[in-house]
Amino acid sequence: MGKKKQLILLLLLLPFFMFMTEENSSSNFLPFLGKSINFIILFGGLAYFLSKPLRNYFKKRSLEIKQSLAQAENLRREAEEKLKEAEVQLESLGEKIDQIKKEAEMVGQREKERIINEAKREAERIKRLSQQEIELLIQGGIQELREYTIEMATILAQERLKKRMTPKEHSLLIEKCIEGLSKLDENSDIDKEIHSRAS
Amino acid sequence: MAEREDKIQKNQKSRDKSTNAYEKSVREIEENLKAAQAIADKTREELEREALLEKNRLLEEINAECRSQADKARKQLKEQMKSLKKELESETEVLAERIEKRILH
Repeated sequence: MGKKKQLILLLLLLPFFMFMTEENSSSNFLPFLGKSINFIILFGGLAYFLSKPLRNYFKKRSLEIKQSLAQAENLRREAEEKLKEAEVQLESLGEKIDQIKKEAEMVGQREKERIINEAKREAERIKRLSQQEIELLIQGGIQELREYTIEMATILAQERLKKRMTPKEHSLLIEKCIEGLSKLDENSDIDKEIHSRAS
Repeated sequence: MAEREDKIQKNQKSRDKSTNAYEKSVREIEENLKAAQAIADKTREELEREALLEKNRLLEEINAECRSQADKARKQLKEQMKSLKKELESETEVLAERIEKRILH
């Protein structure tokens, strides 16, 4: 027999048990019947109208409780998992710290090498510049010596000519110069003629 | 109902305990990492400082060497110029003679 049927039977029999104990005479049968019918209508109606919302309410409440239990369990599990992860991280922390230190050392060494290499290149550049400066000094010295020699030779030649030159030699030199100049002039005339003919 | 409450309470207590321990571990990890990072930064800075000092020393050394070489060269050149000028004075006689000859003949 189903639960529903049992409930209906109980509902039907309950007023008999309840009201029969009060008065057991046959003269009171009609009021008893009326009360019973009233009872059945009242509780039957109540059962009919309230059964569905009550069932829904209890179902919902039960679901909520299950969910809250599951949530609490989940939260606990999550917290424990996080803790495990943290513990694992904590265990490997020493390794990680060593790695950070090693990397810093490596980066520092690389930077040091870079700076020193840069300094070496700069030093080479300074050396080259210094060599160039010395070479320029030598070139300057050579030029100065050339100019000095020419100047000295010219002065000396001038003095010697002044001492040696007789009036005859002087006039000969002048004639020679004039001759040279006229030759130059002739050459320039020939040049002009060649140019005009060509054009 | 009491059993349910008890179960929830137990879970919550366990969760709080785990969360606290987790937070403590995370703090510890962070502090250790910070300290390691600080040490690493210091090491790197120290190495850089050493390198810069070495660079300065090297450049100062090379500058001084080059300056001294240039000064030495200048001094030598000056002395050589003096002696060469003296030597050239005898050569200028020959040159002057050649100029003279060229003008006169």
